[in-house]
Order: sequence, then structure tokens, then C-alpha cells
Amino acid sequence: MRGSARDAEFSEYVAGRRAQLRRAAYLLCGDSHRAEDLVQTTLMKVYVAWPRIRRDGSIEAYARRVMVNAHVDDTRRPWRRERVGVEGLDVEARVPPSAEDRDLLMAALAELPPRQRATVVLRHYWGLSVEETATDLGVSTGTVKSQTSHALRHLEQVLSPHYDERQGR
Amino acid sequence: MNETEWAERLEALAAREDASGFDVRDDVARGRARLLRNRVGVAGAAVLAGAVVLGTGLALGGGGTGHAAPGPGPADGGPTATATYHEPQVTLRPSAPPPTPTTPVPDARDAWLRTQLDRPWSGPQDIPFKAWRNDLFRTARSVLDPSGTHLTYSSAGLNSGSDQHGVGLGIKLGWAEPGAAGQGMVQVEVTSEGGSDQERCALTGGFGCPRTVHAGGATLKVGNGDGGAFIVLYRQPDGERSVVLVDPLFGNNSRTPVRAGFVSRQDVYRLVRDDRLDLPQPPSS
Repeated sequence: MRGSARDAEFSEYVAGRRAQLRRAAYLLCGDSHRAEDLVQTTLMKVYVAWPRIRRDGSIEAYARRVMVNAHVDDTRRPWRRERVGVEGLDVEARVPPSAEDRDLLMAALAELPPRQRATVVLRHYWGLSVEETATDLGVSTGTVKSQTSHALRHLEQVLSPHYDERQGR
Repeated sequence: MNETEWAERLEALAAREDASGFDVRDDVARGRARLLRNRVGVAGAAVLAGAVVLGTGLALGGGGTGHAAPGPGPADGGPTATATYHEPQVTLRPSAPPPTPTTPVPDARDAWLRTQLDRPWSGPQDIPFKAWRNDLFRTARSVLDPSGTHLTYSSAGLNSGSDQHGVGLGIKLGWAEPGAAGQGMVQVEVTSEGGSDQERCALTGGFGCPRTVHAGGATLKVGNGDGGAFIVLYRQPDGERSVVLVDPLFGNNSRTPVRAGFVSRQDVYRLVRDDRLDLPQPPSS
């Protein structure tokens, strides 16, 4: 494939899909800077593999797999990890009340092990089936089911008291 | 909560992430650079294999020194790339025996460093080695910016890495010119990891450090990148390596570079061999 054709097709893909990739990355890692790093890493690999994955019709699946694996690797291996602090200089923004639920959910997601978190994002944000999620993560469907169950139970446990309180229960 | 409700909540959470404001051309450029780097890597391996054969032949033939040619460019028909990778010059030293692979034995400090890095973290408060990071910042400022008017540690972050040989840690510092737009970057790392000096420079800066410079009685490895960026590596007497990367553009934090040469090379040569550059020590030592 000539470079110009690859560039044109890839650009069209990025224009259409980058926002969702960025949001999924944010759900995976919970940090905007790291989410952007994840997206950039993903898109670099998508670009390199473009002729093959375009021919196979597997662009979306390939991008998902690259992103999830990059995230899991990043949490598993410290190598080349960058942690951004901004202590004392970039104080945390005051959270408007309407965002409280989302903050609680993000905090609860952060408590999940990386693979459970990835399972939740793939299943309930990306909308993949159990089988598709198993393929992406390279695990059995049973593992996906059990990890989803564990993850959602944990999220429920963390979030339920807050929801009950808000609803006056 | 049912599946639909989970999906709605995750959708709402994801929606607060501002995913706008990107330039597709940046992603294309990064993709091209990665593609070219992959190709250069393959070509470089071929060149290296050839060099080993050539070197062996020279050694058997009584010695001599040759210079490997730079690796070939991308294959015909590939995209025109704007890569930031610079193929290091390879100087053959046929009389030097190849390094003997050794199995590293992690010491107590290495184990402690890895433990600290492996601890779960969820925010800035969990980033380890805060005192060490601040000391490293003060050391860099004392050498590069004694007036304290340019160098900032506004990221308060940590760059870390590890391999079977050791651990690497570093910080990224911003450089601002009062009254002028833009931000430059000074990255300082100390590492006990393995690999060649060229690999170390490429991992940190994206380009090698093929030049040898003698400064203050020490031998430094120096490389130049695009846009006035340069990197300096020094192997300390204890085997650890300190690396300083200088870039007029702090890529993650600014779109405007500061003037090239905002830090003098002589100052960087002093910083990289400053004996305060050391990895953190466990509390008990």
C-alpha cells in the first residue's frame, strides 16, 4: 500500500474514532495524560499494521487489543512509566455536585485489578459480547464472566451506600 | 444495577474526558515515525550482523578499524517519513572481546526500588521517591539555573523503568524564559539498567549518542536530536549511568519551543557527572 493511501485512510479512521478511543482509554486508566499516551501508542501501532488489519477487516478489534494490552502492561511493568504529580501546583479542581457520582465510579474503577477493569470497559462501555471480550483479552469466556461478576459486585459494594444515601434510603 | 445502567454510567463518566482538540496529522506523523523506526531497526540489525562478521574477519586478519556505513533508509515505495531517530555511528573495535553475559544479582537497594515502584498507585500522592525527586530537581537547578528563574518541577512526576539488571528513575523539568512564550524541557535520569549506551540514549531521547566528548576528565556520550534537542550520558564509576536530555520543546506541556541553546552544553556536561546524581537509598542505609 502506498504511503499516501495509507495516510488518507488512517486519517479518516482517526478523525472518526479517536474520541471514543480516548474516552475508553480514560476509563481504563483514569488519568487524562495517561489516556492520551495510551491513544498515541495505540494509533502508532494501528498505523504500522494498517495494510494488514484493513485487509482483514480487523481495525477496530486490533485497536482495542493494543490499547487494553498496553494498559495492562503499563500496570504490570514499571518500565518507561511516567507518573505525573503536579503536587501543590495544580490543585485538584473543585468537583461540581453533579459529577459526584462519576467521581465515585472512577474511584471504584481504580480499585479494580487491571484485567477486571478492562473487562468492564470492554463489556459495558465498548459493548462487546462475552465472546468478543474473551478474544480481545485472550482468555476463556468463563474467565470473562467471572471477572465481570467480581468487578461489578465490587463496584456495587462501593457505590451502593452512596446511591442509597442520595435516594434517601 | 443492570447492564444498561452500567453502560449509561460508564458512558457518562467517559464523556467528561475532553477528547477533542487533536490534530490527525500528529497521529499520522507519529505512525510514520514508528514505521520508519521499525524499518531502521530491521536494517540496523542487518548492518550489525554484517559488522560482526566484518569485525571477526578483521580480528582474524591482524586487526584494524573500520566504520560501518549508516543503515539504509526506508524501503522503496514507503511513505516519506519525518523520523526523529538518528542512526548511531558504529565504530568497530575488532580487538575488543564481546562482553560476557552475566546473570545480575539484585542487591538490597535494587529490590527496595522495585518494591516501591510496584506498589499500587492511583494519584500524585502515591508517586514514590518524593524527597529524592526534589533533591534531583535542586541539584539540576543548582547547576543549570542557579538564579532559580527558569527551571521548574511543575510536573512533580516520575519517569521509571527497570530490566533484569537494574532500575532507572528520572524527572522532567520545565524551562521557561521570563516574558517569553513556550516551555523547554530538561530530563534527568539515573539508571542501573543494562543495555548499551546507545540504547539508553534512544530509550530516553529517541535518538542515539554516538559522539564522545571529554569534559572534566570524564568521557561523555553525546547525541543530537531534532530542533536543538541533545542528550548526554555519563557512566559513573560505580557503573550506574546518568542521562540528561535537553529539548527546547516540552512536548507534553507546550506547543511553543524556547530558544535553542537555552541551556549551555558545558553546564549539562557538569550536571551529568555531578556526584549527587544517584539512585535513592533505602531508609535504613
